[in-house]
Amino acid sequence: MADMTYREALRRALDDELARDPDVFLMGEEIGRFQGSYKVTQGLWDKYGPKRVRETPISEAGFLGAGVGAAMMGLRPVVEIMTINFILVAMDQVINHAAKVRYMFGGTVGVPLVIRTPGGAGAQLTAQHSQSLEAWFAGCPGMKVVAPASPADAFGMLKTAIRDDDPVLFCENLVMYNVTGPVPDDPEFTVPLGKAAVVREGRDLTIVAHSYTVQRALRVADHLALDGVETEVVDLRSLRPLDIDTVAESVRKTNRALVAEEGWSTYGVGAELAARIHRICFDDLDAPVERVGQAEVPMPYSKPLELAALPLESKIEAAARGLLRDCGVL
Amino acid sequence: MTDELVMPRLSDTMEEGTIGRWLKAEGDEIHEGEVIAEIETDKATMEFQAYSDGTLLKILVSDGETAPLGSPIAIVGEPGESVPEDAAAAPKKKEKKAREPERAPAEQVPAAPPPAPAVVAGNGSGGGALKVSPIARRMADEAGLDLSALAGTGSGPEGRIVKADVERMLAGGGAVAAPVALAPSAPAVAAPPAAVVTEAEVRELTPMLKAVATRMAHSKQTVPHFYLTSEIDMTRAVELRKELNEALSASGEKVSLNDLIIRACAMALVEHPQAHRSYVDGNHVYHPHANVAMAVALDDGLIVPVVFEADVKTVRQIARETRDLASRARSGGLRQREIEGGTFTVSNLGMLDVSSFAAIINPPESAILAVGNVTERAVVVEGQIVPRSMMNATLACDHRACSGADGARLLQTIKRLLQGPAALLA
Amino acid sequence: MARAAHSEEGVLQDADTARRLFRTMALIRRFEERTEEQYTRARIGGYCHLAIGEEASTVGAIDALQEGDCLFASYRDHGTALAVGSSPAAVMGELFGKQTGVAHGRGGSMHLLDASRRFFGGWGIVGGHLPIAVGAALALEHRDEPHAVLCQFGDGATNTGAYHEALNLAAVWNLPIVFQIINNQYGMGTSVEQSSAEPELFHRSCAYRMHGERVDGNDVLEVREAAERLLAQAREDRKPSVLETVTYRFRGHSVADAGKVYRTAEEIDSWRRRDPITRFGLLLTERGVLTADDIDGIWKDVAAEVKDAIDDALEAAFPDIDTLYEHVYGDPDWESQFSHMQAGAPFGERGEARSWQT
Repeated sequence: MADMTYREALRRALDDELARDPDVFLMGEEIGRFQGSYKVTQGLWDKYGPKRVRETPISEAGFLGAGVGAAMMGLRPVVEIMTINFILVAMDQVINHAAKVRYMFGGTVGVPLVIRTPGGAGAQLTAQHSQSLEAWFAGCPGMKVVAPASPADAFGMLKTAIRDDDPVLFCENLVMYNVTGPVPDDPEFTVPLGKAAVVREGRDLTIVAHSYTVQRALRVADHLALDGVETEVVDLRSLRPLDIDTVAESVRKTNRALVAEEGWSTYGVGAELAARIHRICFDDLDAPVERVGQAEVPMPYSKPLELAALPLESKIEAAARGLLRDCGVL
Repeated sequence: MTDELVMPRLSDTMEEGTIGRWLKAEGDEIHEGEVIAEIETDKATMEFQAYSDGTLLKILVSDGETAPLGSPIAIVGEPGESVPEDAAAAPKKKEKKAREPERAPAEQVPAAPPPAPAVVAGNGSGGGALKVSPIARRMADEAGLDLSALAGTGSGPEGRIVKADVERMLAGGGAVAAPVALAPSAPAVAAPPAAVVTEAEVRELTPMLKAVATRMAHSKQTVPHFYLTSEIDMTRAVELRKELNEALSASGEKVSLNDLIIRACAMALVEHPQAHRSYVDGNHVYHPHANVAMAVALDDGLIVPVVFEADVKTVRQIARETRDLASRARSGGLRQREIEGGTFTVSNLGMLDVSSFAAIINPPESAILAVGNVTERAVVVEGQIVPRSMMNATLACDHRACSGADGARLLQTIKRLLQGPAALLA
Repeated sequence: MARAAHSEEGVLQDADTARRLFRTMALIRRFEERTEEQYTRARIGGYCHLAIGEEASTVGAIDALQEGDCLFASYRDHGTALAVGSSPAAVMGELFGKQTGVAHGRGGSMHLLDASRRFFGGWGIVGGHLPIAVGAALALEHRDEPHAVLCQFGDGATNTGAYHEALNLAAVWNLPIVFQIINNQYGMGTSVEQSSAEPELFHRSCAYRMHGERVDGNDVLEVREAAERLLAQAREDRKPSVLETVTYRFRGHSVADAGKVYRTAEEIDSWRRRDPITRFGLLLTERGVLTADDIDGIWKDVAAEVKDAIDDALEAAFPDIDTLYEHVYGDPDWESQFSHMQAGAPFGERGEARSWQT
């Protein structure tokens, strides 16, 4: 066990898998000599060379599609899209190609591709560079979408994703790259896809979140505890497959649910969870499921506007308090 | 071997076609690739070509006639072959747009009467449905509780009955208690004599009591309290109060001593920002106004509504507010925003004959004033022993926010204002 | 798919190759004509794009592929599948949506494939498969395999972003791939002149310093010679290239389009007179490689083969609807991964029914 940052955990996972399987290779912009725009791939080009760590021009559709083709031929490419905002120019390759190939071709050929990409906001990067679009992909049959929220999960889930035979969108987060946590030394440590984790137990309220929002939710839980409210926080870890069982178990216990995310709530992760929770836990609910997300605006530049738009702890806490008030608690 | 020609699909949305005209007659030879008919589809008139050689033996659907997709329109085969007898033509219509004649209107079946409104569990009156959350309803059902008594008065939005309400009912709590966010300080009040219990009864804390417990424990553990006491001569304040109430008797309004104390504290706080500021996360937060909270005792518990901006409100305004807040505090009608945002608290146990006490600070406030009863005592004024109405006041301060001197200055001003209370009306 | 002859003369000397080329083109022609008929009989649904008139471009190039080479094509792929060697019954079965189809009924006309022969589809998005073909070439490079990729697509695809990104990547990374533009001069209803700033499409490769050339796409020998040369260059020198084969489609863009709104009857007729199969047949009979009877025999033969294919496809079963959810995912662990996603789903499950299983 060693403490390391989320970024280091990702790097170690890539290093382990590159060493373990000659079919694994990386593709992306600036991942080689530049050492990676967020330094995730630092040192890997020096260690494995330009064929295993292949730098690309700015051609997301081109090189993500190439990843699909290479995967169809049996290789295991790990394609880095610098931020999730740029995946939009390659949307066709992800949704129309990667996700559809196996089914469309009757199961005769698959796409063991991993697409790694960070989302998130908060550094005044403005509208086109501040999105969290994972919900759009999580709705697509044929895709798997995961979002680890701790260094250990990042390490274990990236390994699983690389070894998985289906296309996986691996959602990282810009702020989380610096989060530190313990990571097992064992190179065979993997975390399964499709399983959520209860990261804080409580009896009065369930907050469901993924990625960086989990960290915010934990801090909100601390504040609520000062008022005697014990919050259970569920870290989804995986959006498709979605571990609704763990969420339902929690809501049956607390009767109150709030889903928080960095993306927009409308048609977002919260929308999916709310629909399922209402379906499965209808008789256990004390109030409708609450949702918190980014304000429904393109992210503005000016700092006070950006803060007003972000789903900060204060907003999550306010929503939680509102929900608890509606339930006569607080 | 004869073969059927069927109405071909010539557009992806067509469901039937009409023969525009046959370009071949019965008995004619047809060759692969030859256009043998023009067919009208929903989109346009298309050419129908033969896919193999043969002789057109029989036309089943003639010019101007319509047939559904896939139904036979002609028979082809070798010259002279006989056509099978049962070569049935598809149902034909002369007019492409002909519709079936309107049916005679069916006898009107009287509509079934609307079902009676579902009787809601626990609602004996059978009137409007009871608004209950699913879990509350389930708990009530399981416990055999009748929720009709709570109809419309639940803690949820628009009076929805929620889990907490049912929990209170189950705990024998009676009236729905008001929501609590900040639990103020108060030492345990001497409880009315309890019924003799032979066995210890264990009851879980209601959310409100739980909040008080957690808050107070946290405050005592983390805030470095220090205490300053003062004896305040309330004689003139008592007189002022009497005069004010006489002046207001027509309107029915009443001013209490506590209202004067609140006003005095508010004015003093804005005069002494160093004793007003809060300590939060390593910073001092200065407050523009004095939001003075007052502790209100409940049957079992405590609630602390806030008089906002008491430094710019008149005594009369404060009096009106405190009366309203206290009454709603007891009936459970306080809103969340009325119990949040205080910058100072006044806790008065004089009505319960306490002469003095020390209170627990309610973070993030940095001070609290605990006042006891007003009693006539003998004091020395200018060398003479005279009876005066005296009150003990104990100010608890957060040493991270203010020093002893800061607190002392605040208390000094409060005393000065109460002892020269005309200033409160300024 | 191993070939011996290299030049046009060589082919004409080699009767087996000549016969094979002719027969394959004839098979495609017959198959496509019958496919159109089957479509009007509503046995084939959706989009149906016919390659009638383009046989030489398809067959000539594919005949130059060697074992281990990879092939990618657009949605006008029935001829491609047959040229690669897939059974007509399996191709027709796919068009009918039957379990016996090459994609078990899940792909349809636009998504044919034959993975064992490295024919990787059959793609529905114009230009979308070009980056994927580049990826296949990348895989060959990664594994140091001495093979190449032939990527076929139409003139319309050369205006998409994906086309340019694919060519750039292939050139920058020196990948073993030949990009074949089957220029039938119309992208749906829009001519090449109307839509492409550089209508001589093979010139567009120069932006990537990549070799490009144009041949008569209706001359199967010319196509074959060029393809063989460029594929060898790709395999041996890792030099990518563009091969433009100019041809014409006699039918519309798809069965739903008569192709007459945007083209004149004269134009269509003038191309019919230059029918690539008729032309090749004449050449072979002139040179004494085949007799007129041979040619007749071949036409009858392929007609019978196509008829058998239709009969087989008609008889075959549709896929069991209980298998609806199969092949969405293929990882051996996928069921366990999705086991916690069962309940509360919006697609109709109630009670105990599991959405992923029968």
